[in-house]
Amino acid sequence: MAIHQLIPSFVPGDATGQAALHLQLLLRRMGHAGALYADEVGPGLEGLASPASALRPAPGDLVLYHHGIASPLSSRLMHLPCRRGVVFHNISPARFYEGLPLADALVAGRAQLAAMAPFAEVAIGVSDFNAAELRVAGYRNVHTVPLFIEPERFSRASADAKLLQRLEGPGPVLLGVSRVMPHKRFEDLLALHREVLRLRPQARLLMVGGYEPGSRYFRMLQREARGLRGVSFLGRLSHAQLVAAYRSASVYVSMSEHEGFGVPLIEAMAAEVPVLAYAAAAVPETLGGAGVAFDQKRFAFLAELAVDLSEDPALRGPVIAGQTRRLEHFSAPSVQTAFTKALETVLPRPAPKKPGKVPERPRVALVVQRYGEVTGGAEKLAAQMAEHLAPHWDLTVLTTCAKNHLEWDNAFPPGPDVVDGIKVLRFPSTRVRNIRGFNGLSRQVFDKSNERLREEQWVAEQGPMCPGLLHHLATERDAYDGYLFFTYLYAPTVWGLPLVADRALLVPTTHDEAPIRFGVYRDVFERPRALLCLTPEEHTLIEKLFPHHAPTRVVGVGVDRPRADGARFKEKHGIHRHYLLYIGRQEPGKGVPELLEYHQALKERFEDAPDLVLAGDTNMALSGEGVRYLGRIDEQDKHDALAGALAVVVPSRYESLSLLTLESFAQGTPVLVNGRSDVLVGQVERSGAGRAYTDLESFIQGLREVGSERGPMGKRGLAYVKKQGWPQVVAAYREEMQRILEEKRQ
Amino acid sequence: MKLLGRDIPARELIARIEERLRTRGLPTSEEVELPAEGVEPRVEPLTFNLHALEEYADATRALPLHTHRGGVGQVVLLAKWAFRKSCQVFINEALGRQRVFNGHVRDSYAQLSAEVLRLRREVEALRARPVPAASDAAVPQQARAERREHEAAPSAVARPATEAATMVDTVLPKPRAPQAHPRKPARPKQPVGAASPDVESTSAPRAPAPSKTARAKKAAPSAPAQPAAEASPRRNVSGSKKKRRNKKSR
Repeated sequence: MAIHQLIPSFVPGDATGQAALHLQLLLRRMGHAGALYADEVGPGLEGLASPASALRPAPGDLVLYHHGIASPLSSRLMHLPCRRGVVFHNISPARFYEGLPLADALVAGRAQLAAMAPFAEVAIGVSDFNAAELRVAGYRNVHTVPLFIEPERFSRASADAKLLQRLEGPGPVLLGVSRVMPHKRFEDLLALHREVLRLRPQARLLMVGGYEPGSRYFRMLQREARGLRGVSFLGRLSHAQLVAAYRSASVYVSMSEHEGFGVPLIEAMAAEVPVLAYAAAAVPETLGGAGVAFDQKRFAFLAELAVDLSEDPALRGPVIAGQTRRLEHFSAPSVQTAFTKALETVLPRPAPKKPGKVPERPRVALVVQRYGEVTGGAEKLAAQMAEHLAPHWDLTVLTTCAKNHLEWDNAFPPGPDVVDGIKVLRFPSTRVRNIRGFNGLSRQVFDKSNERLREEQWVAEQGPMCPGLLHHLATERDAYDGYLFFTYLYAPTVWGLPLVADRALLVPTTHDEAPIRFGVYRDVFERPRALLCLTPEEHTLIEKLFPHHAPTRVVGVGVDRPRADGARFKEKHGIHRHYLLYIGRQEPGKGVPELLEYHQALKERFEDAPDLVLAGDTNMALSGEGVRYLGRIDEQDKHDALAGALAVVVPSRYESLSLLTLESFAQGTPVLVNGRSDVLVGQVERSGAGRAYTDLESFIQGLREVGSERGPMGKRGLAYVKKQGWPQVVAAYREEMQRILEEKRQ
Repeated sequence: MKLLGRDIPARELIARIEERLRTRGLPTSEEVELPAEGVEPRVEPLTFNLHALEEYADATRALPLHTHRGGVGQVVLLAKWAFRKSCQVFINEALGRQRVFNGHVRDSYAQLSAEVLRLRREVEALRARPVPAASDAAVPQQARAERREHEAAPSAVARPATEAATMVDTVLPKPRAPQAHPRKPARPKQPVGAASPDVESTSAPRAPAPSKTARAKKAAPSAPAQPAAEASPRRNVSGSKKKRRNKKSR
């Protein structure tokens, strides 16, 4: 059974869309798969939400429709052949818009709300106030599930530095955040600011929110603001800018005459700004005793109060502390408890668990984004682990039909498959990646503070989008005793792991790269039963980025040492000089352009400079003096190439463990690695079988040393890999899985 | 003035601020109009939709002239007005079929919604019936089924049409008075909210549902308390009267 959500509009900055995204996160944590469907999908968000017309629920599925202003989706909901629920976000009373076209849509929205009542099995209000309106509208099974907030996204570190600097200045600074609409009463903010100016002539007022510059209401506000000092209309801001506005404010003020919840109230709390709010509709409920609510708009009085809240630490401190306590009510776990309670009334009860024996040969699903004849370190590791664990586990690989990780186009047929004796179940990928668009999005979101929507968008664009795989995880969870996920980065792990986190192990292959700082990866590192790291450096990185990570264990990898012949490789490919070797994905993200640049510089400076041999899939031009690109090569050829190389170069700076390095050691060949990767430097330092470089000079120097000490270094490398054997690695995996099985049995 | 907050000394704070206001020579208590409290009332969807269909069925009728913009907005309004004045005849021509179609949609909806209301009342009445006595167990199963079927069937004949019409009046909107100047832009209709007496009447508990004759059903949407002639001509005929009216006003 899936739980889908239907939203009128899914665009950035829309509170309903954000609520749907948050509920989807909770649903995954509760083990339910499901998708978002919207009448209007914002540009670039097609990966996250599908058009409402594409919604085809199964009879047992539940569709939660987010209702606000009038939408044709309410009629569609009533006719869906499945179970139905309504999430009510409130509708502004029409009395604020009498005589305006908007009034019609507001009343129509309320009529639709009442019309849906007999068709909804469950109704959710985001506040008790909304829940009361649902009951008045005729709903029976009504629950309150508040919206939640991720306070860490409102920390000072998340603020846009430029805007923060621009907004620096004398206080007090009052802040109002909302769409510029008549019932939000921005004119009252101006009236308050006028009074504050009498007390503090340097005071400022920041007004944040989307507005129509030509609208009569906005022009009225502009006219009123004209005679006042220190008023800034900042308009709609990005998330980081919004945080900067909150973090620049002394007091957050709400003069709104109607709020069904009041998201900015809790955002201000998260940004540690005292809240001063008119106690309208759900505002007192949202504040829950925190902040300061008032019942009369006496501006002279409120100005005094705002100044006190800004300047009096004895008043400000306890208010901020109280607000921080209040935020607990809007935390994800707290909201999940309420949501679970609401859904329990409509979902089938899970069958009671029967304590049983720990299976001798547990059924384990190995989840990885690609499998089979594919290039990629993590994928190769997954294949090696599958091969070594298959004798001990009843293993099924759950993966996509994709072969190419840049586009994720379906190359393998969907359904059951067998690869080297391992059972594989493939699910089609539903989107082909537009790599140019993806790179553009990456530039926008990397190294910045983002709202969840942007990060989820990035994950969707990263892909592979494979709803079938997620559905399988959610619905067939009892078909497996445990799960083994590979790689933290891709969508099947980010969205699939939470579905089965209570019995999942993750081999994260953590890289120190920009996206790992996204909040969406917190679940990936915090929710599985254990993280299996490949190196101590990876463990250190996880400690640093995810202080609340799941239990971690360094398991390493085993290395095969097949017989190899370097001369055979040279002869086969007509190579007559010494050569440096890099085998792997030939792409910018792996540092290949820098390697080519250094090699060309080497050729220009030294007559006897070695050639550069490259092998593996590529999506870039590989050319230059002495550069040989061989394409994909088979396993024996690879080991022959490793054995015959002067040194193996590992140019990537993002590595959780370099299998190439270990395979090189296994053939007695030293390595020259990118010194900006802690993992590679750690491998070289522990083995003493190579050198690290950070620029051209250190590249040349490292190559000299490796060339002159190739023999002793090679021996040290061989000794290093002999210590890491498959039996120890396999035993570590089995021990961790056994822990899960024991717990499951109880 | 009340201040709500667990973490503030509210009384002390109010006293302190009132004292400062006194010192500044400002009034410490002002008459402030308190806003309406409480949740919004239910809007009866069937009634609302019928209102809305009636309001918007005539595609040739101009929407109220409105702009959310100042300045340039006035020019836009003037342009809209001029367009309407000069092109109404073409608008009528272009949208004539649409108006007839909308009229049929409105009438169909009115009939269907009346039927829904009748059925709902019947369901309520059936639910409200006392649970069969224990002796019923002795009645053969087939006989019980036949009886249920008989009870559930619309008993149009058994119930007086006048009663049905009265019931319909309480749930469907009252007809509006005919418009003296149909071409004049209409005021936006009153929202069917707290201020609307229609909602009050629809929200009131309903009497046990009588059935009605097929004729009553058809008349239900426009079955007014006042004579039929007073009802809006748009309600009964899909388009024909309206067309004449437009011609007349030209």
